[in-house]
Parts: sequence; structure tokens; C-alpha cells
Amino acid sequence: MFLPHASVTEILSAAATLNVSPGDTLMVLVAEHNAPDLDELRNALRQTIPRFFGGIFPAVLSGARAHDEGAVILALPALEPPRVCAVSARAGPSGADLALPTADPCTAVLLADGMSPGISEFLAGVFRQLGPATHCVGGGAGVSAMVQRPCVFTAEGVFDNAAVMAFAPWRCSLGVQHGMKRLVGPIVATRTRQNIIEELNWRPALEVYKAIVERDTGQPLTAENFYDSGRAWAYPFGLVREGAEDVVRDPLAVVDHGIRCAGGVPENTALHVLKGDADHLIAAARRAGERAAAGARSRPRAALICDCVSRRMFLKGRFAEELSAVSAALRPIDHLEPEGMLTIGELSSSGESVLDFYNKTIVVGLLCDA
Amino acid sequence: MPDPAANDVVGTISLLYELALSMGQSLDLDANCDLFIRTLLTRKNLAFGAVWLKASALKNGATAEADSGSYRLVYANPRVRAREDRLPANHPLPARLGNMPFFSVAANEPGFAEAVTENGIQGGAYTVYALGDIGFLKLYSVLRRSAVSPVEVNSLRQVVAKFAVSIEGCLAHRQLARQIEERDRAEGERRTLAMVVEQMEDCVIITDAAGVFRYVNPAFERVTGYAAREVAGLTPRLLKSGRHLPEFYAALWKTVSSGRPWRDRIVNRLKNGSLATFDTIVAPARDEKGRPAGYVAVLRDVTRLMEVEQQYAHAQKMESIGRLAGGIAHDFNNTLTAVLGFGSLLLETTPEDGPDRHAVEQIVLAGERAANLTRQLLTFSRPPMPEMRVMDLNALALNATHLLRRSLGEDVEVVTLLDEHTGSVRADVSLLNQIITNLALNARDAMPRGGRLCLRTAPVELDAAFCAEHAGLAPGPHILLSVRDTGTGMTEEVRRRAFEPFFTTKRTGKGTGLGLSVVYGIVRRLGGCVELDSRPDAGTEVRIWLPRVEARGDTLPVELEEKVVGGRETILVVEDEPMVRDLATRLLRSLGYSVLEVGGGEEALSLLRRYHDRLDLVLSDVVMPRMDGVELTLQLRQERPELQVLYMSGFADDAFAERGLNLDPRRLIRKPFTKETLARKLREILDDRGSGANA
Ligand SMILES: Nc1ncnc2c1ncn2[C@@H]1O[C@H](COP(=O)(O)OP(=O)(O)OP(=O)(O)O)[C@@H](O)[C@H]1O
Repeated sequence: MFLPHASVTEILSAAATLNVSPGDTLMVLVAEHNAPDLDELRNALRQTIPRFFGGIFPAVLSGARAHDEGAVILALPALEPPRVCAVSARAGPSGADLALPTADPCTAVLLADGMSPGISEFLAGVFRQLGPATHCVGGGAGVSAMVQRPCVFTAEGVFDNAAVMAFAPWRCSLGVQHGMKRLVGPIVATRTRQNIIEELNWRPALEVYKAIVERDTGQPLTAENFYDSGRAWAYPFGLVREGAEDVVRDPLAVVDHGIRCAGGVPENTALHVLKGDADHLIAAARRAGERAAAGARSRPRAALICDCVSRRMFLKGRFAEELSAVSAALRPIDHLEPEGMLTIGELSSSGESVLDFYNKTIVVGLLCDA
Repeated sequence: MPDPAANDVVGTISLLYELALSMGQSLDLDANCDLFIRTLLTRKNLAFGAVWLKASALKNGATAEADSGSYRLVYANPRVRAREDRLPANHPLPARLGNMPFFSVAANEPGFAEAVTENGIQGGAYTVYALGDIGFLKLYSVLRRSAVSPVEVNSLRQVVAKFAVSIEGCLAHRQLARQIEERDRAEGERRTLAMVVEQMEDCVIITDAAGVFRYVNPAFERVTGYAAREVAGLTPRLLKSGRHLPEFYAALWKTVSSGRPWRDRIVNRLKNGSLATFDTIVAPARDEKGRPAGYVAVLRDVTRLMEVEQQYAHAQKMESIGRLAGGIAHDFNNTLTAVLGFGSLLLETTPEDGPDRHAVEQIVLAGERAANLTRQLLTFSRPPMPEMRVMDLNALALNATHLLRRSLGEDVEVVTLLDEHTGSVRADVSLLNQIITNLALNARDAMPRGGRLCLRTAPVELDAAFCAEHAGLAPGPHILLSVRDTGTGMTEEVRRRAFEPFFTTKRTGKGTGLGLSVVYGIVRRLGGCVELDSRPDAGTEVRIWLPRVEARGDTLPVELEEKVVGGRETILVVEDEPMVRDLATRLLRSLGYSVLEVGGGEEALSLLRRYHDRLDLVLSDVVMPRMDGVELTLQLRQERPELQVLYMSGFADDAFAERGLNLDPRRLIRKPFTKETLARKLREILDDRGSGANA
């Protein structure tokens, strides 16, 4: 359910109309513009709803539209109360010793602090715990200014460097696509530190990247215009994954002579510099919708779209086309209005491959009856 | 546009590059597997990866031999996907790897079903690689419809082989870490043990197989007086006391060399030459390989304990002797009184140069010895004490030395070191005199060619620790009385037995062997303790501790000589034993008194009525048939309240107590008595007539 104004009162009264049963979990996605104070919201919700979780995002999605202001709320049946897990801000695995439910089927909706440097390691840890029956869908919370702040919450509090998870006894049919194409590669990330690429092919990462981008655009790329020019959005990195699209890492900023990405880059991994164009991206979005729809084996209860905020920055005026394309792809399931959010990184796993953190990707999840 | 095949190769190489570098980053087995397999799963887009190792390769010690060919799951990702965590040695998976180092099998092919050891496997394909000969790597892809091509599988073969090596590295590291941990633990234990041994009260000796000292603990050094470096290179034979027969040591060696521990009490000689008794355990020690490596001995010094035990045993022995003595004392003393009394009377009337003179003298001497013996024996009897008074010990010691001066002879120099703060004890003067006399005479006997006798007194405060080691003492203020001589001293053997009643090293007829045991008995009765310190040719010191009392004690005038003073008064002798009655009558008459004599209470009463006003004093036996002395006195008093009474008794003190009699010791004379004592007692009473009531 989309709410155009995300005030505490409106969220509370809307939640009341959903008739959230005590065993259900309420998911609350808040758009960053005019967003309520999260702690206030959490305290207010706690008075009436025992189980809830949520986060703040650059925008929320409803149907074919993105809203910078407002909120989306959704009731999920729950296997257990939502969880909060710390995502280590330092190097090293975390999340490996969680006791995750192993119900069959099980869908985990996961909202994580998208700016947390340890997120890839965390998801690797979670994956080691996941049974094949558990499907995972979700994305990175945060704001479009890309500064880290407490951005996810449960009844227990509002957190940064954390992930909140809810487990529903549903199946999830996923479509995951980005549509970027390889431009140059493979290049080896010979030195990385979590989400910072320090060296590419044994040379300073920025130097290598700059040469590639400048050759393609014919225009200079500097540390100063790295982010503003929007160039970087057009040339993300792609980590190799056999039999699937590369896993995208958006460059976010220059750190010394390295490049900070959204999501971890394993040291010594082979990657490509990717290039996107609007048509390909929109086509990929449609494909994601189609895949999700095709994979549904039972009655869908909700359609959740996690679309990367960097796609909107890249597509600019044509972003609406992407959302329309997804909606169109989901049209066969006409009783559902797709809802979701713009995310700072996306994540999914369907039991077929590892759970990972993506950038510049659209994840469409159809949450279906068991 | 580059050649797509070449691009594939570059892609594969870069994957191999990443994989190769992802392994061996950690020496921890799980972390090493995690990094490598995660990379593999991510890049190859796989759903599951696992590492299985042979139980024998894991070498965790807990593996039974029969089990060592089996396989253990050491890593799985995702973990919950794993269904089995053990596979028998003959499982089809490793069996198939026996023929080739890797294989791939898809769901629709034969051999797939038996390869499944995970949950939720539907479709897809397995790829399995041997990890050297220590185990195998198992990968699963859901997305594959067919087996992975041999070329593709082969491309990973070398990097997997390296992975196997890295695992071996982890296992070796784990083994080493365990060994180090084990060693640290062992070392910690050893340190704790060493600390315990160092701080133990018991002596600990460790020797090598030849019996040469390898270690002695501080308690050993403290107790034996030998420093660790002094005993280096020596054997425990150093401690041999000569108190055990060779067979004793032979039995010890026979036991320990047969591998069994030996336990017994052993007497050792300490560095200062003294002997000490140890409860000893000697056990053979073995090295890690079970070979005999030497011996460990733990020795507990029980010398003190045994002394205390002996003190108790001794006290009991003395008590039974006392009881026996008390039982025969009455008859014995009556007899002796007669022998002595008549003997001395005879002596008075026998001319110095008469033919019978020597015989009579011998009779009196023998009687005196017997009387002395009986008196000594009687001191073993229990309280109440006669004439308990608070006595100034210094005054008493001075007095006693004066009296002894003559008996000690010219060659013995007497030195008194009397601390002026010594204070008083509660005791019977005669008993204290007896202590000093016995000790002084022993000292004299030990110094036939003269020497020095030192009498020392001092106030001491005894603590609980001291009292624990000295039976019979209670903590608090005490007086130390020490009698030391420069005589022959005693051997260890004699020292141990010196307090035993009837133990003597002196010629027959010379020593009774009762001197020290009497001292012991008296001291015990006074709530004190006696200790003997002596070595051959080093003299002897007897130390006595007596409880000190706060009150100021009497100081006795020094009696230089006993004079016999008689009198003219009339005395009634009441005694059922005719021999003693006869003697008393004669003694009294010889002293000038008028004497009436009767054999019992009734007669005495009727006589009194007749000679009512002529009687001055009644000398009465205490224990008599029909009417005893006390009863008699009560009756006499009704007729003549001011009449004086002196009791005679041959009983031990407790005999009175048993009869419920509480006699004033000043009105009591002990049988056998001499003429002198009788004369003195009578004068004391008769001259003191006006003062105080009678008993
Ligand atoms: N001061 C001493 N120096 C050396 N030996 C002593 C001394 N006092 C006692 N002894 C030894 O202890 C033994 C026992 O002494 P104890 O006084 O009990 O009896 P005794 O002296 O032999 O006999 P008695 O007391 O009749 O003279 C003595 O025979 C003597 O060997």
C-alpha cells in the first residue's frame, strides 16, 4: 500500500486498515523526502504493532511510478519476529553464525545498510547459513546523498551497519537483471580493501579506470568530477559470474588513487569495465519482470521491486520507461500493483546460486503462496 | 574484435588466478576453505561446495583405527545443505575418485543418485575433485543440465591440487597448534606441580635411575639442613642413620626396582647429626616412553608427631603405674615405717663400734631406698595435690640448691641463672623439690669427675604452635625451669627411653630408673611439660614448662639443717597396725613426749574421757576399720574442740579423695616417716596451737 505522505500518523492509520494480525510482520519502506524521524516512527508503531521492520530509501515505488516522498507498507506472514544482525564495518566475515530458520518454503526479505563496507562479507556469511529452500530478496537502505546514517529499523531500534530481516513462509520467484555490457576486460583487481579497489592490473586503480573511461568518452575524468559528471554511473565494474550477468559494482568515489565501490570487490578477482545504454537497461528491466512472472508456480501475494538508485541517475528522464516496462511484464498478474523502492544496492538468491550484493540492478521478486 | 576462444582462455586464467590467490590466506582450515570455495561458488555460479577429508588426515587423536579410512565433512557452503557429515571409506564417491582425479555427473546420468549427500538436490550436476590423497572437493550447480565438460573440469584441476596442498598446510598447522597447546598445557601443569612441590611441607627427592639426587625441594633443605647444591652428585645414602638393618634398605630397593612404591617409617640422620623420623614413600618414576627414569621420594617429618604420640603413651603408662602403686602403698608403707623406725631406734642404741652396727646401718639404708621408691611411685598417682600453694619458683630453686649442695659434692659447680620476672607456680613444695632433686642428682651422676650444673628460670609466653607440639601444654604465660649439666650426655637410644619408669643405665642398686619418670609425672600433674635435650659428651638439658600464676608466691626461708626438737606434751596414738603403733610410741617417747596408745576409734574415745584434760594431741591413722581417723576426729572435737590432730597416712593422695576426705596437708604426715619429720610436724602443730581451726 502506497501512502503519498509518510507522516507517523498516516503510516499508523494506514497500518490499521491493513489489519495486521499479531503473527504478521509489517514492512515499512519510507522515501527520504519529508521522511518522518525513524525513531519516532518506530516508537509509534511499537504501540500498536508487535512485529515490523523497514528502512529509509531514496524513493519508494508504486505501480510504474517512483515517489521521492511517501511510504509503502506491506504485511507479510512471518515465521518469526524480524531480526536485526550487525554487519561488521571492519574486514572479516560476519553473519556466519546466525541461526536462520530452515522452513520450506521460506522467503527472507532483507533490508541492509547499503553503505556498510562489510555488506558483501555479511551476505556471504548469511548464504552459508541458508538452506536451498530459503529465497532471499531485498536491497540496501540509505539516502541518495550516499552518506551513511541509521537507516534500517525494527521494534528494537534504528541502526546503521546492520541488516533487518523478515522470514515469510512463501516462495519467491525472482528476476534479476541490469543490462550493462562489457567494455574492457578482464582486468584483475590486484589489490582491494573490502569495497575499495586500490589496484587494477598492478597499477593504481584510478589511473587504469580513468584511461578506459576517457578513451571511450573522449573527455577527461578527474577525481573532482568523478561523481558529479555522472560518468562513473555509465562505466561500472562487473565481477565475473559464470552463466549469468556480471555482478555490478558502481564506482562511488575516489579514495587516494583507488576507487570506492558500492559493495565489496574480492582481491584478485577478474572484472570488466561495463558500459550501459538506456535501451539495454530498460530491456533488462522488462526481462527481470518477465523472468519473475514466468517463475511463479503459485498465486503471487506481492510484487516487490528493488531498483537501483543509480539506474535512475543513469536513465534520468527515461527512468519512467523502465518502471513501465516492469509493470508491463508483470501485467499477466493483473491483480497486483508492484511496489518497492529505489535501493543502494540490491540482493537476491533463489537457491540456485550464491547470495550476493549487486549494483545498478533491478530485482523483481514475486512473493507467492507456498 | 578479439578471438572469442582466446577471450575464454583469458577469462579462465583470470579465474584461476583469483582462485589460486584465494587459498592459503589463512592457516585456519575453515577460513581457508571458506575463501576458496566462496570464490569458486561466486565465479562459477554454483549452489553448493563442500570439502571432505579422510579421518586419518585429520589426525585428531579421537579417531579409532578402524574408522581412519572414512571421510568427514569439514566444510560446506551453504552449511544447511549438507545432509551427511561422514562417509564410509567404501562410499561410491571416493571409490570413483580412485580411478580418476575428478569427474562430473549430471542428474540424468547414472551414478548421480549415489553421489547425493545433500538436501534439496534437484537436477543440476556435481563436479568432484580428489584433494590429493587426503579427501575430495564436491561442487554442485543447479543450473547445469549436463555434466561439466572434461576440458572445463580439467582447467580447475591444478588449482584444486594446490588447494589440497593448502589444506595439508592447515592440517599441519592445526597439528602443530595442538602440539603447542598441549605443550603449553603440559608446561603449565608442570609449573603448577613445581610450585606445589616447592611449597610443600613434605620433603621431596627426585633421583635418577642410579639413585643420584636430581632434585630436592626447599622443604628437604629446611628439614635436613642440606642445601640442594650440597647433595648434587650424592645419593640419599647421605641420610642413612644406622638405625635400620641392611635388610630394611634391601627391601626398599627390591620393592621400587620391581616398579612398586615403597612405604614405611624411616629414621634419617640430618646434617646436624640428629636423627629424625620420616613417613616415607619411594616410588619409581618413568619417562614419557615408560622407561624407568629414577625415583621420587616424599618424606614427611614425623619426629615431632611421634614424640607427642610417645608423650601420650608415656603418660598413660605412668598413670597405670601410679594406680598400682596407690593400691599397694598402704601396706607397704606401714611395713616400711616399721622397718625404718625400728631400724633407726636400733641404730641409736647400737654402739658405733659394735659388731651389729654395719648390719643395722644396711637395714636402715635399704629401708630408706625402699621408702624412696615407694614415695616416687606414689607421685604417679593423680591429684588432688597435697599442700598446693602458690610458690615463688626462684625462691624455691634457691632453697633446693642449698639443700642439695652437700649431696652434689665438691666437684660440681652450681650456677643459678634466675630471671627476676620468673614469677610463681601453683604447686606442692615437696614435689617441686623432688623435681629439682631428681634432676640435680642425675646431673651429678653424669659428672663423676665433676662439672657444672646450671639451674635457670625464665618467664615465657607459649603460643598455640608450640603447645601443639608439646602434649599437655595450653597456650599462655609459663615458667621455664631448665637444669643443665656438662656431663656425659645420653645416646639417642637412652634419650628416647629416659622417661620410662624403671629404665636405668646405672648399676643395680644404684639407680631405680624412676628419677626422670617421677619428674615427668609431677610436671604433668602440674599441667606442664618436660623436654630432654642431650647428646653423648655434650651434656644434658632438661627443660620444664609450668603454668605461671599471677599471684605473688610464698618465699620459703632457707632451711639449712633439720634439727630434732622434742617436747613434753601428752600424745594419743591411734593406729590399727600394731607395728606402726609400737614404732610411733617409741619414737614419741624417745623425743620426750608422754604417749598413750590405742588400736581404734572407740578405744580412743573412751580413753579421752578418762584422760580428758591431759591430752595435747592425737596422732591418728586415717584409714582404719570400723571408725576412720576423720570420723574419730569429729567425735573427739565434740568433747575437746581445741584438741590438735596429726594424721598419718600411707595412702596415695587420691585414696583420700575416693573416701571423700579433704585433709589439710599441714596436718598430715606420710608413712613411712622418719623421726625428724615426725618431730618437726609435731612441733609445727603444737607450737601453732592457738591459730586457726583444725581440719
Ligand atoms: N643428666 C643426665 N645425664 C646423662 N644421663 C642421664 C641424665 N639424667 C638421666 N640420665 C639417663 O637416664 C636414665 C634414666 O634416668 P632416671 O632419672 O629415670 O633413673 P636413674 O637416674 O637411672 O635412677 P634414679 O632416679 O633412681 O637415680 C639414667 O639411668 C641415665 O642413663
